Amino acid sequence: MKASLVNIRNMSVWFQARTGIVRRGKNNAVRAVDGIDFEMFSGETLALVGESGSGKTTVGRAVMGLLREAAGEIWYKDLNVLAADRENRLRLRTKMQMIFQDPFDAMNPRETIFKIVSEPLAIHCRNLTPAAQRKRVCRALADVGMTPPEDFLGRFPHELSGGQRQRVLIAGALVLEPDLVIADEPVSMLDASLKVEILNLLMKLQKKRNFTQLMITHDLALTRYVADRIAIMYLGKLLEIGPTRDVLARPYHPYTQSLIKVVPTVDKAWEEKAVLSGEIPHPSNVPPGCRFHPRCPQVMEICRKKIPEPMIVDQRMVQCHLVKNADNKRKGFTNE
Amino acid sequence: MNTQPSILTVDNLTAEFRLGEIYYPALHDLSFDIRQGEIFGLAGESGCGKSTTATAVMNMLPENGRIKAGRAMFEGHNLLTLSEKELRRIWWGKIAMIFQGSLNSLNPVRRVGSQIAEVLVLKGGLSKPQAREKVNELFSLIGIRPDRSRDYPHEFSGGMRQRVMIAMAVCLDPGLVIADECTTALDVMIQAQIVNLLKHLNQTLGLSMIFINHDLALVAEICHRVAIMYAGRIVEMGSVGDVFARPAHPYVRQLVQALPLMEGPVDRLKSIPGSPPRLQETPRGCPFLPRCIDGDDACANQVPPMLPVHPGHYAACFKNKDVHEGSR
Repeated sequence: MKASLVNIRNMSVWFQARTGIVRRGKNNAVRAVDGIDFEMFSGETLALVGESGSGKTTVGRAVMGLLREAAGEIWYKDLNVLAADRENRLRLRTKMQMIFQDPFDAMNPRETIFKIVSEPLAIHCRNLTPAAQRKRVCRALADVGMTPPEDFLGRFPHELSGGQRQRVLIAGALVLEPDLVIADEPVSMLDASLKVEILNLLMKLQKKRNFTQLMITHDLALTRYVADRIAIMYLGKLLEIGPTRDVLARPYHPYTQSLIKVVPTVDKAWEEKAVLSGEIPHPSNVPPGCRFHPRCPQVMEICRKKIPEPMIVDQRMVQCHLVKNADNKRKGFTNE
Repeated sequence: MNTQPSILTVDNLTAEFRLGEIYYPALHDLSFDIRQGEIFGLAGESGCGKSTTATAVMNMLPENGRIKAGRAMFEGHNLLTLSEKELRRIWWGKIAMIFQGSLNSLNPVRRVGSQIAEVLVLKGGLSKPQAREKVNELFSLIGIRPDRSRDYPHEFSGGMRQRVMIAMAVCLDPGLVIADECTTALDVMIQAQIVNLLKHLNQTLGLSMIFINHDLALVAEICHRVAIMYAGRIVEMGSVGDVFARPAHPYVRQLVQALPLMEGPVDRLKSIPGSPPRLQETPRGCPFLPRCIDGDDACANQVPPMLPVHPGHYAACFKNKDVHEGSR
């Protein structure tokens, strides 16, 4: 068993909804993340998958310790992120870094590439000499394939292509040599070929620097190539977690099954797909029982009343009334 | 194979854009036709000219763009030489567009239904009660409860607003709809719903469509035929089955290899090294040559024309291999 790097216990995030003057004071809290548990092992890539509004970005931000609203426990090694004092929080910041979706918005257009990549060093490693700082920036740029790095230090973001910008953002995230990288839709804005280029780069860097990665994405087909394990999120809850290959080949949860069915791929012909109707509800309006039941194609009476308990079935966590125990599952779900 | 007559025929369309004082070619010699009842895909990486093609065909190029040569024949008219007044009769009524940004193009302070009714009254010549009736019909068609037509746009989700834009596009029974990245801002599940809706409209109304998208997998799912663009040119064109299963152009071959699949072995995905040429630097020969693994001197001196690979399947490459050998 690999060592656990991050352990999340019963984490919830409540946001206070602002609704104007009249209804102020009422309890309008919405639960964007609702009591989730998961673990991340050292060196693995965990993909967090869900539709927009499922709360996946909120989870990423909470793990980074960026959300004061987060409750529960987020253990980073033996430190609880949510209870850490200022000194420890600063130390944690150097261990965790985030990569954002939009390479156009995440950079100040008036700063040079050197300034952008060196900023984390300027904040967290203040006693670094300018020469040492330059050296580390160059190494980070070389690592992300911006060679020779010296040529890029004085350039501005607008002089770079979309792919190069995303590389600079990755360099900025890696310059502190973090143990955990949270990549929030790192390639969803990029073209097919560039997407592959950046993902291959991330996988290469992960092997070289041995960091752990939480990849937030809605692209199931890509997770197949990059993630060791996959967690399916819906309306603030994790419905299924397991090894990527198993989950995609034999999804237990009906929601996972539906998500897999709608992935467009070039090897499928013209056919009407079983698409779920409706949309993910607002977290202020969570359905009773299993929160997926109004859209579930296999809904049963019990789903409307009782919240399913998390079940562990061969290395996999799944929350669904259809999955009672290991035997039941084998009859109902596998294709074998 | 679709043997219907063409609804739109584009011949040798060439367009250019002014940057500073100089005009640079953005579209080179495009020829394609859309057949009655067909969904035709225009795909390629960003900057390859897909959207420019749509705006050029509609004669809607921005200020700094101009058509240099070519024709776009629609119902006996060349769209590229019509006056603005004549074009207005064709836009929306005969050819409608659905944009990506259309999520934001509803008026926020007016009820959704009355915005569609306005089009029906002003452009379609319907009376107000007739228009209301038609709005209800359209709402059932796009799968939204007709009573929701009295809601305001902010009460609708992104997917529902896109459905409304689709309803608006088809409300005057146009012969052709151009959908430009119409699912890009939407979630996978909502995207699948919209794709099903477009297919449904294609099948029930016989609607012809140009489906522009950067997501090749999505194009493969919805379209009958597809043209893949690179640096302002069509480099391969044919039925979806031919182009994606037996790509003949090296660019398309590599592009298809870069697409993740949901089945089969998990190999490392391959990207295409290099990047497309910029607008300012149009090479003399094949624009893909700097990134091509098969290219030689012939490719450097002349732009390859569209050469037949197989009946109905064309690729702009001198090195066309017989990709159909043994497959039929």
